[in-house]
Amino acid sequence: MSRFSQNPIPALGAGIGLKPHHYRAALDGADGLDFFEVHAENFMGDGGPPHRWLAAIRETRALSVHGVYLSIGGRNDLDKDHLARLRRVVDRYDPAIVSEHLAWSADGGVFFNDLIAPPLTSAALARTCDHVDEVQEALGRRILIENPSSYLAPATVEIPETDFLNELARRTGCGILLDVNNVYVSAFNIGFDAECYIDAIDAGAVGEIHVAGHAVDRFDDVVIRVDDHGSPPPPPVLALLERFARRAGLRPVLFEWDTRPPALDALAQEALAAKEIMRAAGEGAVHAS
Amino acid sequence: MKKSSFAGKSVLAGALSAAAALAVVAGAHAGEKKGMEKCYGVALAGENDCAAGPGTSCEGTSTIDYQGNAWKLVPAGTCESISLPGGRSGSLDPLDRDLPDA
Amino acid sequence: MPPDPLTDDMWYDALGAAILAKASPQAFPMAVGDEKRVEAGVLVYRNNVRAAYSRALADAFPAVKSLVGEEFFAYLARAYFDHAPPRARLVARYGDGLPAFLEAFEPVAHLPYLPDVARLEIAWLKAYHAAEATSLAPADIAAAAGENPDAARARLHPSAQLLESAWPAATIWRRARREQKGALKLDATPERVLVIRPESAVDVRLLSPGAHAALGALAAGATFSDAVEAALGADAAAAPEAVFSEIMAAGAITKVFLT
Repeated sequence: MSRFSQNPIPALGAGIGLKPHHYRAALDGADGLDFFEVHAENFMGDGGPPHRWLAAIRETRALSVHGVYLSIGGRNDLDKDHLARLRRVVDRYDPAIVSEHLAWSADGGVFFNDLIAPPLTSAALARTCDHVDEVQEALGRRILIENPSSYLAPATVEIPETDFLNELARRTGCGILLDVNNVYVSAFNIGFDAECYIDAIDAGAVGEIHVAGHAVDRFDDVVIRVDDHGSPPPPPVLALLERFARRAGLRPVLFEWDTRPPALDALAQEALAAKEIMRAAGEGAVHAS
Repeated sequence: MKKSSFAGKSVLAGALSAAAALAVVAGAHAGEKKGMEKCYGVALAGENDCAAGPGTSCEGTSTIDYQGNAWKLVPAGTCESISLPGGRSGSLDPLDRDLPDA
Repeated sequence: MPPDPLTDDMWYDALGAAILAKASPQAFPMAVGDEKRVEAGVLVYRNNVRAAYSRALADAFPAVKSLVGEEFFAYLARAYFDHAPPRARLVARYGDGLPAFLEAFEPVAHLPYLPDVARLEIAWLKAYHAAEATSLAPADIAAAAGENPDAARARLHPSAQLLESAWPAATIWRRARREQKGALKLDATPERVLVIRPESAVDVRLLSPGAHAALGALAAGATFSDAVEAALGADAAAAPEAVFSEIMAAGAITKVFLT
């Protein structure tokens, strides 16, 4: 039994990525939101205001801990110290969901402080499976792995990203955190069909959906979409959410706004709008599993 | 010489008692902050994000050669208002030699 | 032409190098597609990394940023990134090397206090994230240590950090955090500082030379008697009651134990 009263996240649930300037509003109410998601790395200190706030907020709401920099898609062994820090955060807050990324952030001791898509090869898949096994073993629980945003199309692709994620889930028992904004951004930047991607993902493995906005940047005459989490999700991103829900049914939806986020109420509205799309499309779905 | 500069246990015990009477404990003046902030502290901006930076047009693409733009090499913040003995302050411009030829 | 086949190692090597390089690479054969699009893709990664680190440095060093100004700070952040590849996995530790970097950074050589202001900001951030602990009340310290000061030692608060600057670094720091701009003429007075977070707020306290020496001795495991000797060694005129009152008021001691 959880030591916190608020634990499960309903299948039809709405959450937001919680930023420090929302802490007060999160404690004051944030009506309608079913959960908050925090980045594990921001709670890896021993104590202090971040923990004081989160411990109080955790009493009111279910939590999702989203790890950012374990570098699961890297070629090096996992950083044991960092994994131990993640474990401490998970033990401390007893979250309903723990997730990480299909990405690398560190290589050869250099820490890039960014999420970079891994090579899509069978060797990379085998390594990533080992890493996910190691994390799930250390945490004593299942984690979800999020699809990355891509800005470059690797010259060699042995395994398409959807197969990579599905196979990762099948071999390790992990789930998938499907970020529909990342799908849209990557599809545009490196040239694949976003709808095909959504349809190819093993719906039964998906445990959470991320929705966010992105920036449209121009470099000379080239348009590139950048996953800056700095705006509401545009209609084509929400259409991908709807498409997935029609096929797969209900999943918790989380709205992320990291770059200059507005007040919590504005974020909550976006999250609730996404939840409504999920409800309308997902309630009558023939559940795929 | 050891212990001779300060005489003994009982004197030190007295000094500690006197110190306790003098001490105004820190917690008391954290009271500048009210309500939640007092309890939980200041919520600082997050340090780790999974969001991307501002596109292609910022630091990553900048081809400005800062070495050739000496005006950027001069700190120009609140240090300009602080002067230290010997006349050194932020408003000095010790990097004149880096300015490009007019 | 892309190498055939592209190995995993080539992908990690090439992308890592492209991100760290001072200038964006002319070509990136590990990726396919329109040349301009590939160039833009590499730039997004380069930009993400630099922007995230610049932001992290600005978040951690608000006083340094205020002192040198936003524009110069951006240049400073870029130079700091370029001087050595970042290795700390936690972004909050990224700036740990900044004081040493500033010592050798010629454009700020005329601001000799700047490295110490940066050290103070690092201590501030460490105190902010330090473990929680309850400070011992002054009367309890006096009672516990007064009984046998030759054998009594102290455990300090986990957030407590002592600094010593040849410059009035704490006064400058405080002023910079408040964005004060009016002219200020300072003497080259050294300052001794305790950074501590006994409750929710980080406290930056100026200490007398005696209290600084005594607290340093206690931190190193000295008895209360030896701490007094250390205070008198630093300042022969130090009054023990004043010294301990500073230490007690700061909430610096969480436990007194006898050995």
